[in-house]
Amino acid sequence: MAAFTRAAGARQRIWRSGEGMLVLPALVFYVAIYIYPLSRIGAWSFFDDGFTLKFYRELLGETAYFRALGNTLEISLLSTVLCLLLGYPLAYLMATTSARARRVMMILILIPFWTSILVRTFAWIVILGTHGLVNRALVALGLTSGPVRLLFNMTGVQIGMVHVLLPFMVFPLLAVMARIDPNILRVARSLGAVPRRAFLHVFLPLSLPGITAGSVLVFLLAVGFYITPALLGGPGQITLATMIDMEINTFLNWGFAASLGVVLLVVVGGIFAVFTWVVGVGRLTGEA
Amino acid sequence: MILTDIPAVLTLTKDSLLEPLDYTAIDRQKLDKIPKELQRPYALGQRIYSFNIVYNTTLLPKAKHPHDWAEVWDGKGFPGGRTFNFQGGIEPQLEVALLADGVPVDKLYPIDVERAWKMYDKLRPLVSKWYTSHAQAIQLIGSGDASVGCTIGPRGITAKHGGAPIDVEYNQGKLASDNWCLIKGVRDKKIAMEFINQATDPHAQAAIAKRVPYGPSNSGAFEFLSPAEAADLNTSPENIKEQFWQNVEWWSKPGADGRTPREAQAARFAKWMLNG
Repeated sequence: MAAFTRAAGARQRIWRSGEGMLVLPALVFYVAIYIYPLSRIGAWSFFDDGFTLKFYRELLGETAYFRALGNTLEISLLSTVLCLLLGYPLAYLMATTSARARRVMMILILIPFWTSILVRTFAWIVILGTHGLVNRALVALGLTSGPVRLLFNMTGVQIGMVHVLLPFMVFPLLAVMARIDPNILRVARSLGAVPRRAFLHVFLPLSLPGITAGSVLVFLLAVGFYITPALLGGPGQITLATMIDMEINTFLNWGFAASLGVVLLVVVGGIFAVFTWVVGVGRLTGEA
Repeated sequence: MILTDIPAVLTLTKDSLLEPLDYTAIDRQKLDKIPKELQRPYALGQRIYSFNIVYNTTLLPKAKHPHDWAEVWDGKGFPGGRTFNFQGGIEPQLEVALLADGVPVDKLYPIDVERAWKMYDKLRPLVSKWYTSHAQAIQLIGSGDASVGCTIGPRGITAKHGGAPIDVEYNQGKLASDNWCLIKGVRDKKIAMEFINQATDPHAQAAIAKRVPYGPSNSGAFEFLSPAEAADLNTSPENIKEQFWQNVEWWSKPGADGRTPREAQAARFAKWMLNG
């Protein structure tokens, strides 16, 4: 409670001294580049020669769009879970190893980060194809009798997406884990906790802000992914982004495309509203 | 002034964004050698693309490759995955589906939509990837991720010339045109029409076809092309008679609900794909 009033007092001081004006350039940019276009998209979805709900009526009357939405959420959720499973041990290792080893690992994670998503996605097509590197190796080593289907299904989409999204999980995790005082773990051990217990009851709860921050970041980015599911997926991985693209590029139906965008925004926003309510906003921002 | 394909022409015409062409500005002897199907009020055909049977020559060696669409639908006789278009502004290949079902080429239009979709149901399990761009289709066929597909023949020819294990079967191909159009309110219509008159010249079209293997719309161009060059072009006298012109009017005539078959079938395609 004391911490809260102290923070509130600091907040008031910032505004009174005029330092709050520092936020103005970013705010202007944000409103002009993001808020204004977003509200225009919202307006498009409700107007077509006057106010109309026809786009939403059409959308609600067709199961295909719900499937596309379901595919989008399924892909995003799976990517988030996989990124967490792969990213957490990696971040843990990076946080606990020597500074030199951490630097090397950081560079290894960042290198693919500097390559365009499109190039990386096409590279996966070459690597994972029926006659690609992986399948040739599997067949040559006698591990499989024929080529394995690694492309144009969920497997291909997840390989491509996790590859792109993993750094977004690792960096928030690392930032939080690096701040955890190793002495706390030593205290836990000295009080008789076995390593597993020390980890589960001390380290894991302390790293929770990193887990939520990384998961939120990865999930949000995954929801907006367009090119990777389109190129590496099959019919089961058609996302809402693909449908929006089709409404605009094939039908020039901006109003309907806008309504699909609004639905995606509302659903994702709703998911986070519930998530924040359950977990608490402090956990999300790491203030708790 | 733009050079664009039929789907774009239809969309632009529907929204009244095009200026009518002035056909009096084009030499009579040129128009006589350009098929009548390509001389539309808002669009004049320049180069011809076609949806053809494009196949991988390693997986399906020449002579053992599918020679018609029925054989493309025959997954046992001709192994390997198929690739067909989805999205990218291209309508479902309903004509091709009907040909695979044995409909004679002169009975394709008006398209029996339900019959065509039944054939798409049969095609679905054979398809290894529904491609979203023609470049992707060529990549899939070249790499063997698909053994045969329905994509732009001239692109297959380009890949073949580049050394890829790809070839094109022109039989039962669907011809369509890239067209000159004027945007409504064009600043100098006279000069634009003069340019189009130059571009449809047989010499000029032959020179372009030597570099980019799309068929010239002016059949006079073949007087300036060798038999070897002509053999790979979809509008050569030999190849063009094996193919048919897409009936653009059928695809663009609005139905009872105000939607054209192009829009209605593309929407149905997306739902078919998602609900399947």
